[in-house]
Amino acid sequence: MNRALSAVAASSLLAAGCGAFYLEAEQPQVCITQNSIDVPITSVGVSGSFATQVSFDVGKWYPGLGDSAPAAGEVVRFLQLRVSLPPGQQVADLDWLTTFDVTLLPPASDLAPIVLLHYQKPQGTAQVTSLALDSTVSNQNLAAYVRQGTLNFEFAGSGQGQLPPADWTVDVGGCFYASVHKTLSDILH
Amino acid sequence: MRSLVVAALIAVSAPALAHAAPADEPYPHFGASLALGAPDGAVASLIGSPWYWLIADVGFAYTLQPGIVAGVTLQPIDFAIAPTLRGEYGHYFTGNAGNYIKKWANVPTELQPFISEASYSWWSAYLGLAIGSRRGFTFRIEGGVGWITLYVKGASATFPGDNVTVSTADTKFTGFVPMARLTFAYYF
Repeated sequence: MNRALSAVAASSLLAAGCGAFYLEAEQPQVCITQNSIDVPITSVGVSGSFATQVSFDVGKWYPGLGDSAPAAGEVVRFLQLRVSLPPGQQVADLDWLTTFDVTLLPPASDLAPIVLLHYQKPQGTAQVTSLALDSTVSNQNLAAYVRQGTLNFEFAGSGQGQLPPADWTVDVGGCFYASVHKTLSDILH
Repeated sequence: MRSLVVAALIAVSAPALAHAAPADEPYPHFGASLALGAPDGAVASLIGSPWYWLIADVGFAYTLQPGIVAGVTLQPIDFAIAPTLRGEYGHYFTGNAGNYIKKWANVPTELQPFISEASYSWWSAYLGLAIGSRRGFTFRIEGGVGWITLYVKGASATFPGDNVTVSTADTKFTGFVPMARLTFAYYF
């Protein structure tokens, strides 16, 4: 009887311990830049529009994140968008770019798209070749939007003036915050 | 939380200390020890013991890189087998632990540029058993819990195959984890 009680007590302590023990990883900022993304121009002339999608493989640089359905304790936040023109193409600057939205596309129909930021060209800027734009929803946890480690962004905007004469390329970077909290019990299972 | 641990150590041991019998002959005030543990690694320490029930140690640690470990052990009973209560702080200095970690943890190739310099520190509390003599050789086996913090320095790398450039800030790992330690001590 005493042995049985001891075994029960020991098992209870172990189970309680596994729940109390934890490991947490926090990455304050990981910036992933997709180089030379092709952006098709959908119309040409003095005004035009464009739309393209970019996938950020967050899970590749943060192993385990978004492998399956989002787990409690996983946090992913979008902090900043970085856009720059790679050298050696016909587009000299981004002055023609008047407005665009960056939208996070949902991996499933039960989630709504999230507009991460809206860009409106400021007055009086000239020869802009790069942009660094802070997210307007930087406190929102996007973990539910990660599938197979990937976040899918849609860029859609319009321009006026000296438009790119043809499809153009751009370097697009996304900066993210990520953290994962797992109990020993989670890890063992 | 750390101050609570220290307070708990003192509160638990105070009654036992008050009733402990004084030694019949002088106890050694100094000693040396070798310890193996997780997360301690291998530690060589010098011991100072102003009273027979209080054992303080400071040591040089080495595992992936050099570090220091300091601790206080309360051993209130003078007997061949005695319970112990220990509080400890340890710190491993920043060093290039990347090659070891990559090898041991089988880190994917694309992540290897991001594992280079790392440092870690911890606070821990142990319960244990001391076997031997406080006037000579003692072996201690201890188990406990602790808070550990590991920093991995940020890095940047370009992967031409994926057409991707990745840069990371310093990554911080924290945890409340079980810890264990074996100590061989000699008092003189």
